[in-house]
Amino acid sequence: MLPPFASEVGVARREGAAAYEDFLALIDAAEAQGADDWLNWADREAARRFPRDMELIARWMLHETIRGQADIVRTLRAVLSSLAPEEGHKPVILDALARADFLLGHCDDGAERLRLLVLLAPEHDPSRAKAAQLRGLVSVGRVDEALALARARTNTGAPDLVSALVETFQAGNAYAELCAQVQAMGGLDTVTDPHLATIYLAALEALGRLDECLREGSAFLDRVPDSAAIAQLLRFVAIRLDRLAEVTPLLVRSAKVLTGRPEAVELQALIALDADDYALARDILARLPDQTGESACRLRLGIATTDPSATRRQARQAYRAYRQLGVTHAGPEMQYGSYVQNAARSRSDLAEALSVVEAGVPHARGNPFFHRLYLSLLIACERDAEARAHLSGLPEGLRRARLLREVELSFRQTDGAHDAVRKAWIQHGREGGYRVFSAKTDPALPARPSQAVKGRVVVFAVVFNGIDYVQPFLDHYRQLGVESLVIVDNASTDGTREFLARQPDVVLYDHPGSFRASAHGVAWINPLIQTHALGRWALFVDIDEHLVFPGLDQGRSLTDLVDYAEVRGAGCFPSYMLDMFATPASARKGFAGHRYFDRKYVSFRSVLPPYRMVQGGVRGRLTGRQFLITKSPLVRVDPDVVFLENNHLHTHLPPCDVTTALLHYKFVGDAKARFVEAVERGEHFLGGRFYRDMLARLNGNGIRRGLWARRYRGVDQLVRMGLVTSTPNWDVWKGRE
Amino acid sequence: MRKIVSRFLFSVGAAAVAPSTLLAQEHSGIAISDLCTKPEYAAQSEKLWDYVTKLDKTEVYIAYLEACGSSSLTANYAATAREIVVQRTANFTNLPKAVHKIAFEDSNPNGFTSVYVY
Repeated sequence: MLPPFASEVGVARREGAAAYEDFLALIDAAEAQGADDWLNWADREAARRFPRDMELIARWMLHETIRGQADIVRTLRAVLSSLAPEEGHKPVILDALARADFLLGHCDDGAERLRLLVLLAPEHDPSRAKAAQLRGLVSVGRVDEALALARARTNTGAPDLVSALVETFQAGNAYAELCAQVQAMGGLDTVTDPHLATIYLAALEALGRLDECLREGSAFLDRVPDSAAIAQLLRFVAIRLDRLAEVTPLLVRSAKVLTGRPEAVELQALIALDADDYALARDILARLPDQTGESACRLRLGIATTDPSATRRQARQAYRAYRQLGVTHAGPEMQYGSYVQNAARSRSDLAEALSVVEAGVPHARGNPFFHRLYLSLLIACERDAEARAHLSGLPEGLRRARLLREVELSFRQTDGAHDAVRKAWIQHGREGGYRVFSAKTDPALPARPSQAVKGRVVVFAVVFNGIDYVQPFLDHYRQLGVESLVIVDNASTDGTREFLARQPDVVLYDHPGSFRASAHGVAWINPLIQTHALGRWALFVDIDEHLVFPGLDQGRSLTDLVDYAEVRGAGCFPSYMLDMFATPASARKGFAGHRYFDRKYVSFRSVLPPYRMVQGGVRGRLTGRQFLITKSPLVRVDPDVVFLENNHLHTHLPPCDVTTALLHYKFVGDAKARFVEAVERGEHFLGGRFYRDMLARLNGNGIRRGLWARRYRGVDQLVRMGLVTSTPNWDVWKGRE
Repeated sequence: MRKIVSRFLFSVGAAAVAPSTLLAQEHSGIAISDLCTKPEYAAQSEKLWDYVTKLDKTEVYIAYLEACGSSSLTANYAATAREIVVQRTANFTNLPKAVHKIAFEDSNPNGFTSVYVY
């Protein structure tokens, strides 16, 4: 066992080393202990004293190869390469030279030396040289060759070769093979190297196997808590699965274990951001010793793009400071570009987001998140041809990542391959990491013997304590011609259930279980849609949402609308929540008083069905948060259609050219009390963070009007303002002939 | 005018990428490695080593090793060259800053020139 290098014992040990054997023993011990300070000294000192011993020089070169010291390796490689074959073909020298070749990018020379090594010294372990070959090929961009070698290479279990195989599969975006490789060697339980574990977990994430990723990653982090990269990856996955509360204690523990390192500070700040404690996050940022380094820049940008009270200017400044560091990855562009995209309220904002993200393309490598963001923005900016060219230029493995598969599916849908897209979504939905497929909940139970539903369009909803809402809700949809409504009551205590039970056209279901565990009701609604609306149209809405569509003012019916869609081969209608609000004066007039809306919305094409995204609205303006207001509530039901995230997204259906809107009465009645209840129940996404934000900004139940507000006068007004779309075909539609 | 410029650029480009043996042959028609491996060039081989030691540049020792390192005729010189390069690398002194090639040149009084490649 070597003593600490700088200790007195260490000094004495160095002074005592003189003989060749002393140095060999020191180098062996330093290698075994991974004591790089000792190794660095012993290599050089041995070279000074025994400069003609080429085996010693070969070992030194190997150590420099591992350190990536290319200049020194280049010099020593020239020395060793010049040896006559009788000495140069010794296994130690051939091995070291082959590995140096691969480090320096001389892959063909290295391959020849590796071939000689295997041929001349079959007893020598070539696994490290083979690992170096894979890394060398990847680093010079010969990824396909590396992949072919990795696929043909038998995994001997040598740790370095395993890592190189995994890194190669990662470089080739061959995520399924990567995961199979790790699982074949015993799974993550057998891995102790955080780097390897991070690659494996990121591959699970890329494949959409989010539950596995969270489960295995949590177990690893519990075992190896000083893995900052894994802690951050798990946080991301947990947010996506709305399971952050499970992971936060692990993150806190990791931050403690990592104390003293910049990663700890970053992790602590992220935990503060998750708790919406932005002041604390800024205090933590101030603790970083290097305020201009990458950690500080990344964190500053993270805070500026998360804190709703931070200005766009602050975010832009933080991005520029980060970019000026000259980092060789696209992190700054991803963070800032996605922020600008989410905050976009106009087409010029989208163009700005695209120009930011475009600047990151040269650094993006195989990052599926980046490429998805870039492609989404190209599509949003109507630059389809460029998007298609970019996608087709990506490596095949990367195109198979869940985020990019979805882009490919959207193009196929645009091209009219609807049946192929439907079949592909059956598989992709389950592999796409959507919470609804992993929801742990039982089906909702009918409150009374099964009732038959009537009509071409059946309304579906989940309700909890919605007594202020149900009557106007029923009135609205009855007026649209709906004959049946299937409603799941989530154990209301305010009389909602009793009220609904008295309605002849309501098919009532009960589910007293957790709304959150059912992926916010979607896991209850999906099977009910199949039971009651197969072959019909399902209108899945929240109890505070009233659907409107072009022609409604002229008395056109919902049946007419879905007939039109069917004739045109469409299966869904892009929609969004138009947040209705009252002024302090009109708030007491209930629904009638909630007659104002913000005019500032932007609508653009997107990747997932219904292929149109809408952003804007009063909630976003008040809170500074970005709300997902895009919806697609009205769908034609076939056996494969599945709602993925509430009524925001679903699978495979081609969109209609007519769009709709949901008048969203979030603030009717005692909104403040309802928001308090929502936060206390913790049943909404991210523990009701958005309700918390709204609460902080609501003053009474009214919202002051501003220049951006308009009084609602009917759907024609929305058509004129471009907030819903009609078409000449729909305008002249006379019904199915 | 445009033609002259493009020719000039072409010739500069060609010189920059030409392999060392080509450069050596351009000068004399004799490859440096022949000097070390063919007994009939023994005298020139001695002169070459003198030239290398006189220059005493790490880059040139490396160039010598690349050309003559594996020849049994010059094994002792190569061993010395290796020792010098290893010692300098271990001591962080006179580290090579570029890659040199040695060319044989009749018109040069020494017979050799060290050609900077990159």
